[in-house]
Amino acid sequence: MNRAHSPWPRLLLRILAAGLATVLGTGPLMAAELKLELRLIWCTNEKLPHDKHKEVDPATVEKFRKVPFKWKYYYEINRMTGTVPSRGTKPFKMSDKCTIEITEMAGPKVEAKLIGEGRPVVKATKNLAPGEWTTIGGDDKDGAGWFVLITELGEK
Amino acid sequence: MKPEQELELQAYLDGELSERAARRVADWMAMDPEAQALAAELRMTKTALAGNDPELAVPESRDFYWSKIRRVIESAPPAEPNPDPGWLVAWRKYLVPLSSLALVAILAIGIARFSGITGSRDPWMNLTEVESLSEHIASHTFRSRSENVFVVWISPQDQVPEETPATEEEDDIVIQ
Repeated sequence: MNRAHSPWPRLLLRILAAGLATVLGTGPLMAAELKLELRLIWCTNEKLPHDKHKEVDPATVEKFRKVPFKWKYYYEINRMTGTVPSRGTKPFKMSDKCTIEITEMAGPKVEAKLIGEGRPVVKATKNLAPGEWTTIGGDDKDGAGWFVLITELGEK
Repeated sequence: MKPEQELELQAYLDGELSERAARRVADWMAMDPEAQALAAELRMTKTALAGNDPELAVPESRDFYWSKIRRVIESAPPAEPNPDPGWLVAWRKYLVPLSSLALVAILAIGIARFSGITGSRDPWMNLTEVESLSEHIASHTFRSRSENVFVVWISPQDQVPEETPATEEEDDIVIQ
């Protein structure tokens, strides 16, 4: 009498293949383009007129103070959103003097290059961490400061 | 005599021929002594077989005969039920797919964890390189884990405090 073949070896192979495809399939997902929001923030201890300067919302200010940034007032000078293509580079011109160039890299890593007045100033390369804010900034005159706040709005 | 003739003669004796064929065979028998001899022999054989057919009869009545069979069937011991195989045997058929699923899950979680898919807070997952691209600019970085904020701060080279390390710190620098 012929013995019926057990279905388990074939099922096991299918499960392993599906799992392998799932695991390997995360590679293309990781290489997805990045949707970013960049905000140029001016920080000072002097209160500026409301009609000319947009204040950063209190929740964000509270977060800045806990970082800790110790300025009293934070003003949003510019805000930009954009999509960085997978393995591509996109410049964000935040002001006449400040441009941030974002490159999506393998890893997944992101390179943020600060260009001041047309000259590269600093470059930071880091792994993506969900929910993490990245800032690149520096001091200015009279105890003021500035920074560019980079947040990821979500991968497409 | 040909075999066909012998068969035809046998059919004639058994009454299997048509009237016309029967008349033809009868005419042939009347003229052929050999056919007559064969016909006589066949008739005698048929008579002998018919008179000596064995009679096989059951010694009991029909009802009694079948009732004996029924009693034998009913008196047979009942079939033993299969013993309980136990939960381990019952679950054994699920062990292969479950173990393979567990293996795949472990692989997926492990690869996801070590490739940053899950956003693990593992420190070495957030390795960062910061490079000053101008000789007049110095930079230092720190990460606020409580607020999940990573800061790169630049300053002119001559303004960098000597005690400020140019590497990553955590929550211990005040920017102002």
